[in-house]
Amino acid sequence: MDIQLKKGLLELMVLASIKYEDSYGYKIIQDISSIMEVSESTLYPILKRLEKQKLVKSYNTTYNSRIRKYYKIITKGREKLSKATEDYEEVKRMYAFIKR
Amino acid sequence: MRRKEFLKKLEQELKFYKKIDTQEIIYYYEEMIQDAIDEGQNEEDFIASLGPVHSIIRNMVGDEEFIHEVKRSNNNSLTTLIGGTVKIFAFFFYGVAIFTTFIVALSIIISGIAIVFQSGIYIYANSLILSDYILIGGLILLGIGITLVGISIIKSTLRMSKSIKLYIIRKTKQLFRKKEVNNYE
Repeated sequence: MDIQLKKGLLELMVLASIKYEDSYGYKIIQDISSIMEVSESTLYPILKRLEKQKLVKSYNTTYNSRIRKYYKIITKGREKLSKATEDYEEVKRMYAFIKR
Repeated sequence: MRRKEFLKKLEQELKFYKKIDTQEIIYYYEEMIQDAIDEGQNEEDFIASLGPVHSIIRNMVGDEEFIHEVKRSNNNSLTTLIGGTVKIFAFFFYGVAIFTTFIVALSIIISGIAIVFQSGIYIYANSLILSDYILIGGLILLGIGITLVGISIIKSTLRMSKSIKLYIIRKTKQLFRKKEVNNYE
């Protein structure tokens, strides 16, 4: 798959993985990897970027007497996901045109 | 590799990227490893699955946004000034390595051919007994073998040329970065 396309989709996949509940690095990878291959070193810059763009928020919480960093989707992140869902129909039409 | 060793190695390599939050990346991997262990994965197996430290960093800095941060943080550092020099040195080392390998391989091939050729001349010029033929037959096979070794060296060098180039560039960069870190510390 095209790198840029994969990158964009990965961001959306990460957002989608925390759509219903907050999650942490390891679990995000586990959730995504059944659909799309993602390494720990790929996820880190994505999480940083999503945080910087204010699409997600991170917070630390204690788990088993250690700190675990959780990621929470915020309004702008949800908006991005809805926009992607809207874009999907348009993209589908474009691919139908490419494939014909 | 165990967790402590891996994290130490990661920290050492990240030192070269100034202003990147090394500690945060260390926490990220520490948490990742602990979560994997809690999920029943073997510590060493999981760390091995993360790949080599240099690949991890390369993958992270391969991210455009991230590399932008790296570049910005290194703007006033020696890396920017010596970037071109590093490349020139790396390509010089690469050239020398490839040239030497080819010369060695070529001389092996020539030696092999020479043995075969000389054996042929020897058979042609002398009336030989059976044991001489056996000996010379062995020599011819040896010559062919040596020639094939030379050819396979050239073939594998060509096949691996990209990895060799990357390896040399990485090592040269490390060499210069070590210098840079020492200068700044």
